[in-house]
This record gives sequence, C-alpha cells and structure tokens, in this order.
Amino acid sequence: MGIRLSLSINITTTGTSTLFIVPDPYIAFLKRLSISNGATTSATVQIIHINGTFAKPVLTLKIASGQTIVLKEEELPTEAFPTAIALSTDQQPLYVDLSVELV
Amino acid sequence: MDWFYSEKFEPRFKPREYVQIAGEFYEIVETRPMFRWDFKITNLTSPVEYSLKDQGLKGVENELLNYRLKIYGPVKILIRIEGSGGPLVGGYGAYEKTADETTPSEHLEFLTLADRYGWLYIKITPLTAPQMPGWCRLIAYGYVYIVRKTEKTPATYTAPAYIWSKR
Repeated sequence: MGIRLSLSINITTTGTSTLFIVPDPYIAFLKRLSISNGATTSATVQIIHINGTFAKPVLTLKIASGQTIVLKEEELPTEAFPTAIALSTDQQPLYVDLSVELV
Repeated sequence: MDWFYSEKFEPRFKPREYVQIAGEFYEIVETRPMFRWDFKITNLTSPVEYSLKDQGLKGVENELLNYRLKIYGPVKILIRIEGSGGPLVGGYGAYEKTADETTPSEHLEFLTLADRYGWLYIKITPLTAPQMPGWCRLIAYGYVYIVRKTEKTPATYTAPAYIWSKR
C-alpha cells in the first residue's frame, strides 16, 4: 500500500487547472474524485493525466448545474499519473475533492 | 527459509553461512534490510537503456544486495544481469529476461555483489509510443548481506546459478 492523501480545490477559472503535482520519485493513482458544479449552466469537465510534458485526457464528464458527481476507484482511470493531474472545464466555479495514492 | 522466487520474501542467508560468487567464497557476516531504491522516468517516446548501477542500485564493497524489483507503467523492460558470465549463463554474455507491470516481484529477484557482479542493465520500451509517450516507475527493496571473502572452502554453500560460476 502506498501513501494516501486527500485534497480539496476550488476551481474559479475556465480552462485547464493543475489539481496535483506528483513529487519525485513517486507516481500517483486516483482513488476517489468528487466534482460539484457551482455554475448556472452545465459543465463539460475533462480529467487530464500529465506524463512529463505530455497531457493525456483520460475522462470526460458532463455535470449539470448544481450537480455533484462522485467517482470511486473502479470508475476512475486505472492507469497512474506520473507527473501531475489536471482538469479542464468550460464553466466555473467547480469544487473538486480528490484522494490519491502515491507509490 | 524460503528459496528464491517464493512469494514470501525473507533474508536468504544467515550469518556464518557461505555463498560462492564468481568462483570466490564469501562468509555472511550480517543481514540488514536494504534502503529502498527508486527510479522514475516520464515522457518516454522511444526505447531507452540504463545501467541501474549508474542509477545507484549497487552495493559498496563487501555488500551483497538481495532485492526484488517492482515495475509500474505502460512499458516492457528487458533486464540483463551484468558481470555474471560463466558457462551456466551462456559463456561471457549476459542473462536476460523480459518483464512488465504484470510480472510478479518474486520473479524479479536478484543478487548484486558490490558494483562488480550481478548488476542490472535495462532497456525500457514504451508500449503506447509513438501515439502516447510511456512512463516507468521502478522500486527495488530487499536485504543487504555484509560479506567477508574467505580462503576456506566451506562444506556447503548456496547461491543462485546466475552469479554462481567462475568467470
């Protein structure tokens, strides 16, 4: 079992925001993700794995205004992210909680 | 004691036991846990090669490392045991094995004496390139045996074949 940690972030800009930067020499698995859409219209949200300088979208979510989506481990991408994890959105604000495990 | 490649990972040698490495006999003086060794590479667009000795996976003089590798990432790794030689491993060439994230750690157990015998050379091939760069994380963990070279020929000794034979 690796090092587990959780964090909570308010996204107040549209576009891409970094959620978590993985410290060397670890990699990180996303274990739980919760996103609430505080905007008045529905948001299209993309989760992006960063591998060095390469950004790879791994999950796209449509979240209605006021809705909260909670994804557990088995619903999340199984691949680890080695450098960072980011989120891109076309609406704001979003409230994001995530739990990751470093190995 | 469980022998190599068993799921349970315990020290293989105890003090006052003997190992033969490259034709020389060594007495085990002390057994300790090894500090974990870490390695990570990202943005892999083509195969890369590394001597893990140059990345710090080696002992100092009189240290025999006994470790297992754990592999993470969308890569395939060719592992070559260097400094082994001898007829049991195909002349003076090197013994090679291919592994990836699905290979159990117990199948990737190695012995390295100081920086001279049994060190690893690896070729990492990203599986997802060129469409997507790969990444790789390696961890080595295990035990360190402090050894003392002896001129005595012990009645019994034990060591895995790949660093058994005389060069």
